[in-house]
Amino acid sequence: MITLEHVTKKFPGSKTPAVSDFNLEIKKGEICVLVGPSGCGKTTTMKMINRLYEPSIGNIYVNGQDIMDINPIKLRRGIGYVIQEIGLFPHLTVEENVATVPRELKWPRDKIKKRVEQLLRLVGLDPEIHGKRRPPSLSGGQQQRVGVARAMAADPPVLLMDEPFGAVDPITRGRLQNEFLRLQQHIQKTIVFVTHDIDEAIKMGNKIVAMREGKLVQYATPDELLSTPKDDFVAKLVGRNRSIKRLHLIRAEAALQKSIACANLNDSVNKIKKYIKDNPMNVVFVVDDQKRLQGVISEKDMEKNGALDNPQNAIAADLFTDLANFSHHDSTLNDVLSVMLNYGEGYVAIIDEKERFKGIITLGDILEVVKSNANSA
Amino acid sequence: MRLLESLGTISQSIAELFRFIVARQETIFELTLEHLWLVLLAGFIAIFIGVAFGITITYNKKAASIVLAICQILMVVPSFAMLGFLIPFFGIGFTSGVIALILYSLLPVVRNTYTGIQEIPPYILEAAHGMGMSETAVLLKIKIPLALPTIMAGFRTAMVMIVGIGAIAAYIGAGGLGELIFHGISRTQPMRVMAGAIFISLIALFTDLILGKIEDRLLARTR
Repeated sequence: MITLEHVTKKFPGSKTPAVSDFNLEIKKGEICVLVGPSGCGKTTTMKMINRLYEPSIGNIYVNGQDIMDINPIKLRRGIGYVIQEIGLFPHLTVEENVATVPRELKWPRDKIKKRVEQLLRLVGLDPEIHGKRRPPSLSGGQQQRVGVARAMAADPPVLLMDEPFGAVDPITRGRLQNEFLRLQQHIQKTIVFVTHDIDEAIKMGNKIVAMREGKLVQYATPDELLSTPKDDFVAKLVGRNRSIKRLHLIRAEAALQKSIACANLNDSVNKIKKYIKDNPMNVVFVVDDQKRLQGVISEKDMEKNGALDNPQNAIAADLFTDLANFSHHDSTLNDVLSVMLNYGEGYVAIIDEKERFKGIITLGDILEVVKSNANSA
Repeated sequence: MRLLESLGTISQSIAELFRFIVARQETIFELTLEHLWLVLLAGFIAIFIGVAFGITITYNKKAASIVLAICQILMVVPSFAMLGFLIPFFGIGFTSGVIALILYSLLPVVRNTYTGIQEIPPYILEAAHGMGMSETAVLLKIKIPLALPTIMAGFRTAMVMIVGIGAIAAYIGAGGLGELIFHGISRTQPMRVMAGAIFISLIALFTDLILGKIEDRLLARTR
C-alpha cells in the first residue's frame, strides 16, 4: 500500500540528512508505528508521504503510484492527517470542521450532512449535542475524536497520525487508544502512526519501525521487537520490563473468567448469600435486566446494611455499592493490571461497550495468560 | 463670588454655544455628512488596499519589512506636510483629502492584517494543508476569518484617527467639520471652533463605539 524506496531527506542548511536511505513497505490495513527518540526523523518520514516535505532522493509509492506524479492537493485529500495539536479550526463548528475535505471535494450538501453525522457517531460523539459546538468548548479527548473524524471524512484509504493521543491525560489516552483500535477493526485503514512512546507503539502497532538518526534500525512485529531486539539501541528503547510491556499485546478477553454468576436487582438476601459463597472472590455482581453492571455486594455490605436481621424485606437493589475497579473488554491486560493495582482489589470486573457484565479477571488469570504466552512464543 | 462669577460665564457660554448650534443646525448637519463621507470613503478604500497588502506580505518576509517600513514613514509625515505633498499631484480639494486619509490609515490596517495572519498557530495551518486544502481555500476559509478580529482592531484605530485628521483636510478645501474650525479661527469666532470640535469628537466616539462592538462580536465567534 505504501512503499518507501531509498528515501533520503536533507534539509537545506543542515549537514546530516534528517532521513537517510530509508526503505519500508507497509501492507494494506496495517498500523505501522514509527518510534524513536525525538529528532530521529520519524515525523519527517511521515510528512514525506503526503508531500508536506518532499524527499531529496528516492521514491515513495502510495497504492502503486509514485506520489511525485500526483498533484499534492489531490494526494492529500486521499490521505487522512491527524497531528498532536489536532489543529481544529476554532472559528468553525464541529460539523463544519469534519466537513472540511468533503466540502473541498464539492460533495452535495445532504451527502456531507449524512457523512458528518455518521462519523461523529463512529467516534463516539452525539451530532445533536456536539455538532453545533465550537472546538474550544470541547474537552481534549473530544477534540481528539473530532480530529480523527475529520481525517476520515472523505474515507481515505490511508491515515497519517503524528502523536495523535499525545496531548491528553494518560487515562483518556488509554481509552482513546482502545477506541481507535476497535474502530480500526471496522475501517481497516492503512495507518502510519508516529510516537516516541514505546508502550503506545507496542499497543497500537501491527508493525513497528524503530528509528535512530534518520535510519531504520528494526522493522518487526511488536512481539518480535520485545523478544528479539536487534541491537542495544532497540533493547534500550524497549526497556527492561519487557514482560510487563507484553501485557499491552494481550486483550482482556484472553484472560476472562466468563462463568461468574451474578444477581438481579430484585434477588433476595438468601440468594445473594448463596452467590457470595460460590464466588471465588466472595462478592456478587449485580446487573439489571439488560445485564448492565450496577454494582457489587460483598459480605461486608450485607452486615453494614443490617440486611441479615430481617432477610425477608431486603433485595439486591438495596445492598449493592458502586464498583470502581472495572475495565472494558477490549482494553489490554496492562490496563486491567493498572486498574487492579490502583484500587488494590484482587480482581477487575470486565464490561463490554454497552456496560454489560462479561466476567472478571484476577491476578492469577493474568499470570496464567502470560505464562502460556511465553511458552508458545 | 469669583467662583460664582466664572460659573456664570461658563453657563452663559454653554447657552450661547447651544444657541449657535441650533441656529446653524443645517450647515452643521451638512458639514457632518461631508465629514462622514470623506472619512468613510477613505476608510473603505484603505481597508481593501491595506488588507490586500497585509495578506501579500505574509508570503514574503523581505517584502513585509519594506512595506511595513513605508507605512510607518507615511504615518509619521505631519498632516500638513502630507497635504502639501499631495496638492501638486491631485490639486486642492476633496481628492487630495481622501488620498491623505487613505495613506494615514494604511499602517494600522496593513500591520494588523499581517500580524493577525502571522499569529495563527502554525499547527492549524499545517492541519489545513495536510488535509489537502488549496492555498486559496486556506486563505479564504482559515486565515482571513481567524485574522478578522485583529484586522478589525486595526481598522478601528485607523478610522478613529482619520476622523481627527479629516478636520485638517478642510484646510485644503476637502470640506467637512474642519471648515467650522478654520473659519472660526480666521474670524475669531470661538463658538464656531467649539461647535466643530464637539461634532468631530462625537463622530470619533461613535465610530470607536460601533467598530468596538463589531470587533467584540468577531472575537466572540472565534473563542
